[in-house]
Amino acid sequence: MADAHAHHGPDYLEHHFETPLQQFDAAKLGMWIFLAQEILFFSGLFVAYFIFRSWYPEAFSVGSHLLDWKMGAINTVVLLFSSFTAAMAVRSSQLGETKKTTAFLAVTVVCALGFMVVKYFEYTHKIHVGLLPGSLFNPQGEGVEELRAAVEAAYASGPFEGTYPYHLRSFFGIYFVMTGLHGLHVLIGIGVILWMIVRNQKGAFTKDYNTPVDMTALYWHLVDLIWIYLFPLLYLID
Amino acid sequence: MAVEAGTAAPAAVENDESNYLTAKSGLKSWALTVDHKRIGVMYLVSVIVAMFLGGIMALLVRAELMFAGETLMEADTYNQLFTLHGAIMVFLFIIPSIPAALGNFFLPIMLGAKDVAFPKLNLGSFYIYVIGTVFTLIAIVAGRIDTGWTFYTPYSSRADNAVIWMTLGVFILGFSSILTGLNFIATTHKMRAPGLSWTRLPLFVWGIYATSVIQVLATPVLAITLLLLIMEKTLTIGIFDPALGGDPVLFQHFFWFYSHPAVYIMILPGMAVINEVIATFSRRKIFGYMFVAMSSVALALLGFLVWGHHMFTSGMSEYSTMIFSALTFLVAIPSGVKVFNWVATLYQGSISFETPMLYAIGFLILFTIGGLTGLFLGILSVDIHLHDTYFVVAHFHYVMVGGTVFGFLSGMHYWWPKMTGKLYNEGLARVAFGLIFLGFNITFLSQFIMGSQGMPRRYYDYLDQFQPLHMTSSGGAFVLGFGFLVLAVVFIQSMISGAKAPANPWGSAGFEWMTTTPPHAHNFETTPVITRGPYDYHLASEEELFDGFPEDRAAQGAKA
Amino acid sequence: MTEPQGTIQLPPQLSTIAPEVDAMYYAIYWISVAFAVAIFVAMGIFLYQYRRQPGRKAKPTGHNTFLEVFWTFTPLLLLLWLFVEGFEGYVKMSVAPEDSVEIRVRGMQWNWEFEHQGGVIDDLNRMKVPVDTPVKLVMSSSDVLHSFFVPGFRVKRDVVPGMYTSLWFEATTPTPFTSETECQSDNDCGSGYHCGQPREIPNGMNADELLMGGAPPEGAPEGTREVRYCSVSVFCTEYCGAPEGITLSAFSEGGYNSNHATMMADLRVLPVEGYDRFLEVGPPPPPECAGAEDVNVCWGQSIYQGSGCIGCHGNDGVRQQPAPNWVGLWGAVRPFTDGSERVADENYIRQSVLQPQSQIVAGYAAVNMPVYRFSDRQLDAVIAYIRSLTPDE
Ligand code: HEA
Ligand code: HEA
Ligand code: HEC
Ligand code: CUA
Ligand SMILES: [Cu+2]
Repeated sequence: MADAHAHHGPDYLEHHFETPLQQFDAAKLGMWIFLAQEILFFSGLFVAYFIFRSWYPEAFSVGSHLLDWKMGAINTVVLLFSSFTAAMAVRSSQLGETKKTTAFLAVTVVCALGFMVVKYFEYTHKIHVGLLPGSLFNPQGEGVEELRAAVEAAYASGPFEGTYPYHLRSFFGIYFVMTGLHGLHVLIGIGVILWMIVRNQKGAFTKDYNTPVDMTALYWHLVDLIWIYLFPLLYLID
Repeated sequence: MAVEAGTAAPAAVENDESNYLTAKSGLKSWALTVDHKRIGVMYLVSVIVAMFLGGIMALLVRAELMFAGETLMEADTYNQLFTLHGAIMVFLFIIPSIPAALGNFFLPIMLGAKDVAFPKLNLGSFYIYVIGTVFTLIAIVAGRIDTGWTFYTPYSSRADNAVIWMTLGVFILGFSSILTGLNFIATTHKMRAPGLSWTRLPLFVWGIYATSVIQVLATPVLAITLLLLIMEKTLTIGIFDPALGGDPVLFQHFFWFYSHPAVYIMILPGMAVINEVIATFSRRKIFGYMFVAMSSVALALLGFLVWGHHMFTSGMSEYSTMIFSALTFLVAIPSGVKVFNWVATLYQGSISFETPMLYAIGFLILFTIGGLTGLFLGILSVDIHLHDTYFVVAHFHYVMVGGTVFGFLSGMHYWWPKMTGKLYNEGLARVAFGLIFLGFNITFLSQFIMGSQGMPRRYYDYLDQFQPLHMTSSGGAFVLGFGFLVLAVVFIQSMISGAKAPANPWGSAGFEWMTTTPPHAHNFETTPVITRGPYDYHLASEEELFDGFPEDRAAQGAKA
Repeated sequence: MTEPQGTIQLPPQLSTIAPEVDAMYYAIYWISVAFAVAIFVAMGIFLYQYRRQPGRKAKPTGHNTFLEVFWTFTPLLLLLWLFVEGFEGYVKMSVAPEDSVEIRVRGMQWNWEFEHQGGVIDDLNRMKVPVDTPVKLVMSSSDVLHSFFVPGFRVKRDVVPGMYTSLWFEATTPTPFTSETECQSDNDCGSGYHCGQPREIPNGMNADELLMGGAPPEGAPEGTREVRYCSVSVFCTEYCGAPEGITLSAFSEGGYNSNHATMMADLRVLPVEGYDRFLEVGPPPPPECAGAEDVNVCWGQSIYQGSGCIGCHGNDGVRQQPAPNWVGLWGAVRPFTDGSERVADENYIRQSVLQPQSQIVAGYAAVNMPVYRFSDRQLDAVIAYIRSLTPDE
């Protein structure tokens, strides 16, 4: 550091902080503020969801039947588990167990990748059968079959005659935007966790200094939490 | 001076080599700096450029409106001009102006900290701002953006695709704003020097702190709104465009949920500066300190509840309209508290009238007018008549230009010596103030009248009957533009040949004046220990206050 | 004019609600003046009294909790009162009386269309309402947001695609068609009014008499003359754009209704009998066509000029942009963007006007022609006119 001042304190202490505790507190506060910001970012989508749901209940009812709740459920379990391993990574890092930390982080990444793989299958299927947002909405082939099943399941009514709620296209608009942005957060999370693994392997974290791992886990819990809301709202409630 | 640990006398650190400007040199040392002061300066330069651009566009707008009929440009060109004027002024200039430029520079110093809590993030915010700006500029080149700064759907979702670049630019700028806010909140909470309790916090810090809270909580909603708009245009997701089953009014709700709080992002920092200037130039602690501090927080919170007052005519339910109107009036209370307390601060002070104070007085007058006319718009039946007329245009220029820009200019003059180490020509600066104040009032007072007479906004042409008022307004705008030109001369001249500034030219008791001029690269040689409040003139020692101009010289109006 | 006069700040009061709105306006105005004067005077006195003088120091700031609380809460009471009053006015403005006359308003880029009871559609951008009768407008938009604003009535409401919005008013002052209200420029009419678009009137009459079914007096010279009357101003206040790259003429050159800034309507407040008469006969062919060789061709040409077709279509066989020229159109085989073709006959033209997007002529996909809703009589006229542009072989 090209710092003229005598600098006391450990290496990881940045020059503008007085004590490691101050540095940690600042990071923690900063992270919480960031998470608050994230929540507000998604809240816009949740508001849109609730408004459209209250206007077009039939569309949302049919829509939820068009999503594969089993895939959603698998992903929920996978993410919950990854949140657990992320927490364990923090714990082992606080205990100074570098190897274990890496292992837990690696499991977290694997889970996250698994989540994305499932999402990939869901998306490609939707694209294939034309269950798409707005003017792209154009169910065909299998999609028509699914639509028939969904309409019948939703209304428990008579035969499907090719009519479905017009606003299904808005439902899929909301579905793709919400899960897409969430997926983007998962991808970013994967990147950050990988970076943490690299740093951890290089020995950057010790018993005394593991703030970045801690912060990464906090972020990961938020990504998990958002999914916990998305899953029932989109897949389950009809 | 609030005693520094080890009681190092100011003279001991008066070493030119160690000021932040000269500490390192070369382009790289600026581009990669994590020093909040240098980042602040880079923001300052950027926002001034943005204001200049936006100002030129405003002058073109006024030039077209000088005469009825199509005089200089076609309707389409005019529409693009006022859109860019509004968007540039709001997103590139006024929102980052005081917080990111002056706030960055002075908040850590006022806290006695070496830097903000996350210096790298701070630099990151700056580059995000730059990237956002680049996108905005691409948008201008890529096509026509004529949506108005509000991007209302479905016009925007069907307009030229350059709107995507523009919204993307604003989206990115939003993150710059969020991260700056985040940084300031963490800094204010965690980086205060020993002895600097919340009740001793300079009111500038309180103001920036409240601003940051809004930035962090409101901006993400704008981000998601713009993202949805982009998706509407690219993927036609059917959320805002009625042709696809969407709801255009929902867009307005989302937009104003951000943009009303955003007007407090704009005004709170202006008020924050005014606190410092009024205290310094009347040698008095701000009357009702705690009320003033808390009113900033109250504005920040109440600001979230009134967005609907921009939509009284939109077809929203009567019930919501009523609630929004009622809440709108509540917002007037904290603003009123501030105005009253500032006036009360003058009472029994010892007031001098250097340029920063002139701008502060200008602020008091113009903000009061702007705020009171906001109340006209808050009254339901009256707003129905005034909505989307020039009355609204005049209202928001009074608060944004008369308020924020005057606050910004006040701060620029006030802190100029500290930032650059140079004095400016006081006489010429006062001339510039006079022109700006006069020109501004001519420009926008006439707009109140034409607005209440029914002149709608965003019109490139108008009925002959508005001719005299438009003419007056345009004339005023050119006086205003000339004032800014003189101002530019003041600052450029100071940079080239300004006299060296003393550490505390105004004799202020504020903490930022305790350090050398220009400040040391680490703000203070050693972490200061704070033993009094920033406005405790009666507790500050004589040497502290008067190492600049002796009190009586200033009283005679001696020019710098 | 003998109509109510406006003030420096506000246009004349032309509806029953206007005096109420104005009373609120002046209430807040005087409250603001009182506050502003009090603040500025106090400030001025302090600034002078406590200016810096040698040997005098500032007194340290004290506390005054009473004062603080006082000026926090007193304005609150005042504001509460303002809110309640303003809200009452608003409620009145939002609930139309049961017996209102209903008029449909359709906003489109950049015209207003008015459909009266019984399906009577007036010429574009011409609006007629009865005096002393509550009128309720039910409004919709076929493209983007617009907003219907009548300063003289103090009413305004957004016109939103995908939903109906409404507003009501009761006009108090008939707008006369007399020689006194003939005008050359907007300045002749005063605020709240503008000088409406030109119309042809038989010599010796005014439009009032024409509307009531009168005939020119004996001895009046043959033919018609062009007059403009002061009309109540209707503006569009929600920004709705302008066409790209097309040079528009301004108001002063008669270029009404070519973009957001000129999206106006000529509003006439008629005596009740006049309005009823209008409902009976609907908008007549323009008077200048009375003696024309072919009334329909003449009327069609007047629609071509008055309803904005001229902005895009040429009638000279040359101008092909932004829309096809009309010369040679009749009977020609039209190629469409989807590759199909069709002969231009009555039904084709009808469809092109009512549903312009249904078949798009090849090469013209970039510009969207607005949807026009003409009555059959108006359509006949347009068809006759287009037909007349192509000489029979
Ligand atoms: C810096 C920015 C800023 C600030 C601070 C404000 C402050 C206020 N604004 Fe303004 N406003 C804008 C920027 C701002 N506004 C912009 C940009 C628009 C238009 C956007 C667009 O459409 O493009 C707008 C539009 C706007 C509208 C919508 C108008 C319309 O489109 O129809 C309304 C309606 O209620 C409104 C109200 C208010 C009120 C009540 C305040 C209050 O906060 C003011 C409070 C202050 C005072 C009242 C003065 C001081 C107080 C006293 C002296 C106390 C004593 C007085 C009494 C209590 C009576 N504003
Ligand atoms: C911070 C925000 C801000 C600022 C500072 C300004 C500043 C100015 N504004 Fe702007 N304005 C807006 C925000 C702002 N405006 C917004 C949000 C809108 C709404 C847009 C919309 O409807 O979408 C708007 C709309 C708007 C309109 C309405 C357009 C319309 O509805 O049709 C007008 C018209 O007069 C106007 C004028 C001006 C003028 C004359 C200035 C002056 O104060 C500018 C003075 C500055 C300068 C002049 C620059 C400095 C110049 C020099 C240093 C050199 C001088 C050069 C020469 C003399 C050649 N503005
Ligand atoms: C904003 C521009 C615009 C205006 C105003 C306009 N049109 Fe058009 N019109 C077009 C365009 C572009 C086309 C070709 C594309 C299409 O077929 O939709 C067209 C096509 C037509 C056609 C079919 C012509 C052909 O070549 O086959 C008719 C008939 C027509 N318009 C009638 C009218 C009438 C009548 C009016 C006025 C009352 C009018 N238009 C006003 C743009 C306009
Ligand atoms: Cu229609 Cu503006
Ligand atoms: Cu607002």
